[in-house]
Amino acid sequence: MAKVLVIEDEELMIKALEFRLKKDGYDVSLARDGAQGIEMLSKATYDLVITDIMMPFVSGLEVVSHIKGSPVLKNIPVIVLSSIGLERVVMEAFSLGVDDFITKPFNLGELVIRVKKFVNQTNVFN
Amino acid sequence: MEAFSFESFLNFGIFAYVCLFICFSVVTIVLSSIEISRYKRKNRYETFKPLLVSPFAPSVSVIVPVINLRTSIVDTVRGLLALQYNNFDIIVVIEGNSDLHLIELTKFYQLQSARYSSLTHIKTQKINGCYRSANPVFSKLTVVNKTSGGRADALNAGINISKSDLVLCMDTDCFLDQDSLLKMVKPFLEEREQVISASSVVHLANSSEKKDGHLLKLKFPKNILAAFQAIEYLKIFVIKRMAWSNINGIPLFSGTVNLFDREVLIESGAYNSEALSPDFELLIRMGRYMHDNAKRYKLAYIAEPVCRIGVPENLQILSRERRTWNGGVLQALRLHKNLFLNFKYGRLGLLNFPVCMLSLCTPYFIILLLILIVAGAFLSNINLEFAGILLFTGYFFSVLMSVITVLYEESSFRSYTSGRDIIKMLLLGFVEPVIYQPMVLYWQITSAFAKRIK
Amino acid sequence: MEDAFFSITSYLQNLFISRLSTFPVFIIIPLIALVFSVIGILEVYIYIAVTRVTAFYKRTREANLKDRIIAMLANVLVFSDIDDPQAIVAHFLPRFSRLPLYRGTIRRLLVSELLKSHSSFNGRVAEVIQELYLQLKLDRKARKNLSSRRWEEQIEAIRELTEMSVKEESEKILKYTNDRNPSLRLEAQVSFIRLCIENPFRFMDFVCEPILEWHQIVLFEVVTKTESMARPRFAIWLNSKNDSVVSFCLKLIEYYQQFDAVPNLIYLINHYNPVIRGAAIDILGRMGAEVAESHLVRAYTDQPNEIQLKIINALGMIGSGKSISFLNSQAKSEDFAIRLSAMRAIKAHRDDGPELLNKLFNEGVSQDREIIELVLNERVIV
Repeated sequence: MAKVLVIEDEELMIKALEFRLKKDGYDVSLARDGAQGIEMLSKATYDLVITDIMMPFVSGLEVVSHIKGSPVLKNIPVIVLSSIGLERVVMEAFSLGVDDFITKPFNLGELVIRVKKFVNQTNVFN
Repeated sequence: MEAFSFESFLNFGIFAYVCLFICFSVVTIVLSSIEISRYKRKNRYETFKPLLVSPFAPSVSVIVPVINLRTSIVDTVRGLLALQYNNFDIIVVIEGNSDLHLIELTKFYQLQSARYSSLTHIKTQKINGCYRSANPVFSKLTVVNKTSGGRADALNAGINISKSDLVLCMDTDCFLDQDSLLKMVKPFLEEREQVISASSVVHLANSSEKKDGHLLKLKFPKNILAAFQAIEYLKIFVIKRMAWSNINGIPLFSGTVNLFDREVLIESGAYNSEALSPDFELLIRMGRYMHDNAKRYKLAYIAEPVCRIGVPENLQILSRERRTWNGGVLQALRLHKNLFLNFKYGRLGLLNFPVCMLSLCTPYFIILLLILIVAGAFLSNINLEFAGILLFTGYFFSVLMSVITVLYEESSFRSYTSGRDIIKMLLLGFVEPVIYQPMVLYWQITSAFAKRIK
Repeated sequence: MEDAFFSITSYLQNLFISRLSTFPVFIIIPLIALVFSVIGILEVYIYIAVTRVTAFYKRTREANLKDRIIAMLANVLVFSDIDDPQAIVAHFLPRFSRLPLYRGTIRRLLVSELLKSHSSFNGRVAEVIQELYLQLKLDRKARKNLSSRRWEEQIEAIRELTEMSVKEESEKILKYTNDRNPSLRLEAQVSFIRLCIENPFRFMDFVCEPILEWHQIVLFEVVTKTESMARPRFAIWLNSKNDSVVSFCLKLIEYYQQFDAVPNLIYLINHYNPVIRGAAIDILGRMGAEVAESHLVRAYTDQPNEIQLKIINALGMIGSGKSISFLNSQAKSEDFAIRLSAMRAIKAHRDDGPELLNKLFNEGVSQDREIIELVLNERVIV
């Protein structure tokens, strides 16, 4: 069962993602801010990370930078969710090594398909 | 007969002062609550997201002079780079012998020497070097190294180099909230009159947890001197400055963080490097400039805290700081004395200036009264009971003001979430008029004499 | 201790009850003020304590309610992109109907979460949320509040109906697009653009209140993000008496690259308002409108300095080569800013700009050479 970490501060969003991904058979872990997310990454291995960008104190981009900068974590695919589709932010995210960038409002089904793609890629890679 | 008239005179004097103090305080509180309410209602439904993504967001230069900084500059810069705004740059101006800071920044941000052009020629001390990062991730950052000239001079150098519409002048001991630029820029876009400057409520950063240039949680200071200053800052920023903002006035306490319209700032002559309170003096000059050019203007005030500042916890440093401020205010008022009751300058000359001068006279009046009371007590010429009643009224009213300030803070910002902090503030309100306010009066009076002796 | 307490109370009793009327006015008034102050202090203490405690209980209660509502909604969202929206709503509606929606708090929490999720998701999920909102008749209160006396309620109502695409109320909302209250006006304008996608800019025909810079930023964001919207020729509003309407349309003309508006932009070079003039000139430059060059050069002499700088910049951006001689003449101006702008404009001219600038370099005096060097240096100009 693939392990997915969801980092999001909005309660409804995190619950919706949790229920939907669990329904599709993923083992979902939740973090409600960037700092908690980084802590959880140090304690367990994940096949995919989904993170929001705009979070207080430790932003999603900092989390991405932490993941992609670490020799242990850098191969974990990261999907970023954002309500800001500003070109500069998108470019910054991709330059940090983000694997996919989704702007809100987004299609939940489409996200699930992308999650499947990245998880399968990781499994093939492994 | 003589004793009676002296006693009446003294009692009447104290009564008049207490009445004036009460009236002034009530007016201030009412104006302040109108302003807080207005700001909250206006911004309750606004989101700053459009400004964050808009290509029309005005450009902002954040100018940070580095003078006598004992801690790391890297953290400050890191906090600033994380500010949420679409169109800003950071200009760090390192004064004189702070090679250590320059080396630190060069190493961390891969700085390289750069040339610069400037269309404005504000006179400053010599600029020894200008640096920018080789790494495009830090393209927002410019570092300038110049010969020592003081804070105002450093800010002027930054203003010269800046090409932005707005400039934010701050110090290294300020921590800006991530959305501070969004909140401070907004008034420049939504007022019918031209906004020439914006400032905000400031809380204290002492004793709060810090990480990477961010403040994590606001805590009430542990140090007693900082605690008194916390109450004082609340009174100043939540009550007094809010009231000044309601009447579009320049408050006496104008330092900390200010966002200026760069063009108006330069046309007014930029910072005066001789001024002891450069921000206050600059705001007066900017007001004058607008009146001289028959332009309507507004001094915006963000009625919520977007900035936290560290204050001195050492009595010597604090007293030196306060004497400098008060001296600076006196100096500025003297420099612009022709504004006093000058019809040409509207509210600035007819209301702002006289009220500032009255506020400065208060310490002398209080000292005079105290001397008279003591003299009267020795000569047994006064009714001590009456004098006591009047003094107690003044004291309890002062406590009431502190307590109302805490109430305003509770009902509007709730920055101090811990119940313990609120209780500390409420209790300190009883001690403050007896211990801290006399110190403040003492600094106000000695600063005037120090200036004269100078 | 007890003695001291009793002596203080008896003194106060004596002071306020027995002797008060014997005191002169300037003692009575401060005594009253003293009593008010003490009572005031106690009241504030009590008020802070009570509000903190009630806020705590309210927060806890609301947190529990919110968790329940979120869990219910999350279940709905999970199935929303799999099954038919009508079927999903029919399945979950009974559960939601059992919520006591007549209670303001519950309605408020539910509507808030519905709005948040509607703005985060699109596709079938958004359809389900909208259908649920309408089936639960949550729109009734919002429709009523459109005519409320309190503008805050009106704004909330407009926002709710807009997010849930209740198009029937768009005519009612149109009325408020010219309201004196700027927050209400902005909300109504944003709402109208989103709801009435066939003719979203109708309010610009009659709005006399200014569209403030802040409002223009918000509206611009809404307009450019709304995908399926009728895009009119914004040039029709360039002769509006409301300068802010003109200014807003200029931004949209540039964004949508409406080249057919160029003749109207040229006409604006002579607008009475220098801000509009400047904006029109900037846009002509950025759009590369060669036909405007001669008009810009002709208008140059009568303009104030900032407009002259904009004209030079625009000519540089257009860079057709026809105004090179004019720019060369301005490169020798006495004004430093004009000289610098002119040289930048020359450099931007096609491919031979740098070459032309080098020619000037050889002819020029030392200060000009310094400027030219700076302009030619591609790297790092601060």
